[in-house]
Amino acid sequence: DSSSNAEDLGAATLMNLPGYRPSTRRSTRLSTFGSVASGSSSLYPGSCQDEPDQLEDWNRIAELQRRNGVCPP
Amino acid sequence: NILVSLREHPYHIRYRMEASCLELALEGERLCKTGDCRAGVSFFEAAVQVGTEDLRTLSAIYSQLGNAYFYLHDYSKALDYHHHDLTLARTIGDRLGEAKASGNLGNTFKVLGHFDEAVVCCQRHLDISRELCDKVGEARALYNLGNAYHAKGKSLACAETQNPGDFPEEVIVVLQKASDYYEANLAIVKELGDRAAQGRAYGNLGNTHYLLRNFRKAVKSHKERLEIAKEFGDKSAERRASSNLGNAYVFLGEFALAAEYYKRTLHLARQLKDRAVEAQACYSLGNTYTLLQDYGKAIEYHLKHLMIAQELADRIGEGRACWSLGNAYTALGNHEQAVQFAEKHLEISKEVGDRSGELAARMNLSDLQMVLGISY
Repeated sequence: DSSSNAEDLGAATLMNLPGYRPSTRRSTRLSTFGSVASGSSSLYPGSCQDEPDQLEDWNRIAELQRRNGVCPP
Repeated sequence: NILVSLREHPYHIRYRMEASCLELALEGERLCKTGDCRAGVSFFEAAVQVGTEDLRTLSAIYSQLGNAYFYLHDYSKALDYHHHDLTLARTIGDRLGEAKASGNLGNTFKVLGHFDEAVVCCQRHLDISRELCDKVGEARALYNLGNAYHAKGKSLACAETQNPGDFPEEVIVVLQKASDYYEANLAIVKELGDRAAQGRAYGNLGNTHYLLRNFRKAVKSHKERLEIAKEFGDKSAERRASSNLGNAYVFLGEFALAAEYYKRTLHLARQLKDRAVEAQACYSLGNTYTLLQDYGKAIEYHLKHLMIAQELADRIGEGRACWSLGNAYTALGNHEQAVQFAEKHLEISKEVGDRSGELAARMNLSDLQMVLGISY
């Protein structure tokens, strides 16, 4: 029907605006925290403390040398 | 070229070269192990210059060179060497080598922000590990896949919004995949009894739950991570877990508990002599005491944050501290102090080009002006 079409059109227009995001589930309490923290909240996703990247052990060449000792290449 | 030039040398020279190539590479590896990757790289590069007929040794040198460059944050060189390693492993039909090189390549793509390429490489690592029934490799691949999706989700999330959870469907799907891969990794590393790997998976799984707004699950994961960090005496990991627990408790509305974990973070940051982390902990504590409506303590911590921000010449942090202090002094009814910090906030916002900060500061100043009956 025409009213839902109009809504769709409105939604489509909104979707094209920079930064528009439909439906938020933000709680009132967190809006308060947001204002406390100047919108640059310390709880920004970037502030998660992730695990550092794990590199392979520094033993690969030493192990190869041992292997070469047992059965020469 | 190295292989061609090697064939042109007489046998005794080739023999010497083989020995010195391996010796150089061993020294490179030893240096990297002690933490001196810069020097390690020179030895690996020298080993490549000498060259070797043993393709497995060459593959190992490429791999370690890639790892060393990764460690030194020279990711484009890391990419080159891991790619050479992959090509070589495929040429000699070394499936295990192909799997390892793919995993390393995937991690490098991830830090470069090429998430789709990262996923392709990590998936190949996973497929080959399963084909070879290599449980350790499979676990590692699952963890790396989780990390690739986690990093992708986080990068989309950071671009979208300031609050976790308010994400479009695409971000949620990506983060859910990360969570599934971490769970699959955990199942294997538990079976293998690898506690260190469990610690890493719990840490990143907790942060994924946090972004997905599953705060109870985030707390559960980070508590496991904390336990394992304590088992290993790993202060950095304990500091990370404490900070993450503080964040999750804020969203659960348990502010007093959040404050306890942030205090632990602060204590550990001081022990580890990490001023930037110390500043962040003070800032979080200031905000948490604001939520607890203990403005005296909030001011105390925001002032500590301000001091460190000034010391580190962090103008954005300084502006943030001034804004928070202005609000806390306003809450206490100390309007003269509030005006001073609001003015400072305005000045810094203009300097760093923070338009919304500038607007907020102007609004605060005009409110304070009304209260104080001053005109500017």
